[in-house]
Formats: sequence, C-alpha cells, structure tokens
Amino acid sequence: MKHLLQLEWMKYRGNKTMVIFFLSTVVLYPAGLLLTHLFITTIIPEEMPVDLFKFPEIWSLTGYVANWISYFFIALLGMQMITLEYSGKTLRQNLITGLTRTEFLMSKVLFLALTCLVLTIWFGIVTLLLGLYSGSELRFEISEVSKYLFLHFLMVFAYGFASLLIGLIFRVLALSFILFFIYASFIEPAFSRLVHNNIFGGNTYLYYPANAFNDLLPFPYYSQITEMLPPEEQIQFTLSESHAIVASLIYLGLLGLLAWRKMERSNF
Amino acid sequence: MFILKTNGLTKHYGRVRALENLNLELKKGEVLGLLGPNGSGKTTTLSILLGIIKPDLGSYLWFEGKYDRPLLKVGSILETANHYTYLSGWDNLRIIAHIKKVPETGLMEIADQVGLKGRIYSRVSTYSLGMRQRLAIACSLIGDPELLIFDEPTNGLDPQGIAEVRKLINEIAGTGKTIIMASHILSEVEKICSHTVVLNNGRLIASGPVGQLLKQTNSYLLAYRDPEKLQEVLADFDGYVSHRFDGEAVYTELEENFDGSELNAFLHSRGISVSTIAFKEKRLEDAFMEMLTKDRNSSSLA
Repeated sequence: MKHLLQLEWMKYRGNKTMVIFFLSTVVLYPAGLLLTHLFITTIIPEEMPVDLFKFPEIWSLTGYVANWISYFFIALLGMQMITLEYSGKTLRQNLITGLTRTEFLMSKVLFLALTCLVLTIWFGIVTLLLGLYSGSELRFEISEVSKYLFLHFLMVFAYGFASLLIGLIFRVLALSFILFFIYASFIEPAFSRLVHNNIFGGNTYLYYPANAFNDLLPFPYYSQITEMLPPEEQIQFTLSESHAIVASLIYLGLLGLLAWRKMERSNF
Repeated sequence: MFILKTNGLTKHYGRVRALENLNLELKKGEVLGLLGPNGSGKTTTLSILLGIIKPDLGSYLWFEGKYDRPLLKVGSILETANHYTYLSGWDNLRIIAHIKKVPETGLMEIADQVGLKGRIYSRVSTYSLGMRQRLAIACSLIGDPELLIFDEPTNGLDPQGIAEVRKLINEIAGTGKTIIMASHILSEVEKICSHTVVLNNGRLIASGPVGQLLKQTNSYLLAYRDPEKLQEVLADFDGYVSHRFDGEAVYTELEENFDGSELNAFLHSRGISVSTIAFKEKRLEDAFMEMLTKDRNSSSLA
C-alpha cells in the first residue's frame, strides 16, 4: 500500500493541474465558509431560526458548503488523476513496466482516499476554528465530530471515485467533467423527479447515486422547512442519514466493481 | 532456456484480422527482428506480450514461467516514448525504478550511458524527440532486465536522432542481451539481429536466423526491352521462386540450386536475349520483399 501511495506522490507532486485543484479545495473551504458567515451575519441575521454557527449546528452548515466545493473540485481531481495517464500514454508505460492493472487502479483509489482524508481533517479544523471565531462555545463530542468527519469523508470519496470511473471510461478531462456535471446536475434530477417519481411515487427517487452522495451532507434546514408545512403537504426532501450512508456504500461497491472490470478488460 | 513462447496468439479488431495463430519461440541471447509492413501485426504482437492488449485466443509464457511478475524482468519501449513530461528525466527514471522495485543507485549510470546525464534534471517537456527516445531507452534498462523490447525505436526521429538511437541499440545488443526489435528499417535489423520473424497481414510468413533467410534463394537482376514479356516467361523456369519489377529492371529469385547461366539459357531458348543479367548480393530487404511477394501471390491464388 505504501509503495503504491509513494508511486502516486512521485507522479503528482509536479503536476500543476493537480496541485491547483487540490489547493483550490483547501483554500475554498475556509473562504466559502467565511463568505457564508459574512452573508448570514450581515444580511439575514433575524430570519434564521437557529444560530448556524453554534456547535453542533455549525457542522451541518460547513458540511453543506464543503459539499458544493468538493462536488466540483474533488470531481476534477479524480478525473485528472486518471486522464493525465491517458493523455501522456503513461498508463500503458506503467503497465508494460510491470505494474498490474489492479495495482494501477488501487494506487489511484488509495491516493484518492488519502487526499479525501487530508481534506476531511482540514474540514474538521476549519469548522472548529470558524465556530470559535463566531463566538460559539467549543463543544467537542467525539461521537458528533466523528460522525460529521465520516460523512464528509464518504461524500468527497464518493464524488472522487465516481469521477475516477468516468475518467477511466471517457479518458479526456474536459469531456469527462462535462458529462459528470450534466449527469449530476441535470439528467439525474430531471429523470428522478419527472420520470421515476411519476411512475413509482414515494421517495424512491431520492436513491439515485448523485443524490445519495449529496444527501450525506445535505442542505441542513430541510427538516425545519418541513416542520413549517401542514401535515398534508409534508415532503421528504432528502434521504435520512442512515439511508444516504447505505445507498452511498452500495454505489461505491458497484462503482468499484465497474472500475475493476473496465480496468481488467480494456485494451490500452 | 526459452525467454518467450507463444501459442496460437490471435487478435481481431472487429472484422479486421490483426494477428492469426502466431507461434514464436525466443531463446536466451537471441536478438530477434520483428519485421513486417505497416499494419502487419508487429505492435499488436508486442502489445499482447506486454499485457496492454488482450488476445482473443492463444497464450504466451515468459521465462518458462519462472517469475510471477515477468514484466518486471523486461525493459520495453512501445511505439513512442511515454513520459510524464511535466517531470524531469530523473523523476521519470525514479518512477520506473519504483514500479520495478529496484534501488535508485544505478540510475545516474544509466542516464550517463544514454548520454542524458547533463540534462537529466531538466523537464522532459524541454527535451527533443531524440532525447525523449534516449530517456525511454534509459527507462527500459532500469533493473538490468533479462529481455529488452524495442518497437520502432527510431520512428519519428530526425537523421541525427536515428543515428544516436541506432548507435545506442547497437551497443546494447553488443552486450549479449536478449532483444526483440520491431522495425521496418531492414538495414538496421540486418546489422543488429541474429534472428527474424516476418509478419504480413497478421500472419507469420517466415522465421529463422537472418543468415538462413538470406541463403534460401539466389537473386538476379535482369534487364530486357520488353519487361512484360520477360515477367511472363520467367514464371515457366523450373527454379523460379518469385520476381518483382521496379519500373526499370526485373529482380528474380531462383531456388538455391539454380544459377544465372541456367536461367540465361532458358530465356534464350524462349527467344529472350536479356541485355543484363547480374547476380545480386542478397540483402535482408530483398529477402523481405521476396517473402511479401510470395505471400501476396499465394494469398491471391487462395
């Protein structure tokens, strides 16, 4: 495992695009949160039902902001990891040098997981600092912190892994990203709400992959919005936390299987 | 000990036959030239052997099955040099050493061997094509591999680059390493290789030691005012093997036990007095063209 991680580190540390994508994510986490803080505290302070920057509420808010940022940048990072190996034909050089196909895929997955872990730690630090900066009393409950860190890790890893697979299939960064963006932002929401929901009804339309990943750290105030609605108009906006976790893990398993089959069967 | 044995390797791309039932054996110390026109199946063969293309049928075995990971014992260049161009030559060498799980201690020596020591810390994106190809050769030498595979190593290079790479491969071949070299520069193969395999349309049409391939027939150059008629009559000669016409002269191949005087007498008896009949020292290029012509004739007859 260490051998594969070292190999990936040797490849990426000099790659400007990778460094830019990673640093953008790192910088945008606090920047996005500070902007959100500024917006909420100066523009709409009296309209908010709870103090968003108090512990533990702040975790939901920072998680939601991280969701938006990682949706773009981790996706780009995941795709770049694989498409740069296609564009330079270095994937085939790796294989003819003696790396097995499984090792090649594993090296990407491990490096992605490590990147997501680093980002998750950063997410934790930024959230704690922002909470303290906002004057909130520090509350550090292991179960609470570890839950949000786990959800964040799973979310960014799921976005990254899905992107990795898309990059593996389409082989070109721009094309892969456009397809990912169109699918996650338009095709899936439109299909699940307009077609699936009309046919099957209920809340099964929420179980599509991009939505399941998104619902790991969703917009935090849906529950409060729902409470304001009359009983006959109650709507489930998101999957429950446990359902989002299970659905995401199942999708990750399927994506892993697909990626492995694609890697093993392709001609390079 | 054999280094490589293939058994009925077959690959089709849709309805196009890329490789058909290829059986090969490569022994330790041999320098094998893989010859064939463009699209004959050379790169497909090497790609299968190096694990980046899956064959439809057939199998192959490296080093008599001695190693679990045989490609770690093979150094190869497939078509163009493939490097991380945003990294330095040195970093690229380190990556290959890391994949092969060998120490980095001998890397500078290898860089020196291929003449890149002075520029090894520069980014590969600043290298010329010749330098990139030399870096690819350096990568292939890492870990002291038991076999080297070079696929068209001088492709796309300028004359100076070709000369540099050719000199380098000549030096490597001189060290007694087992090598497979795919090329269509026949003079190169003739100088370097001990054995050749000739492919055409995905099929093996000839194989053996270079000397043996050159000796199989006698080659003659003939000139006559009516080359059409000469070509018609030639085919009736008992020792006739094949011929080709380059627009000026007719080149014919005769079986080994027939010579020019017998051919001249035969042509004379059929009313043809050639203005020139000359024994032509056979080069690999002649043998190669002869094999392709024979193969095309037999394919069209079939």
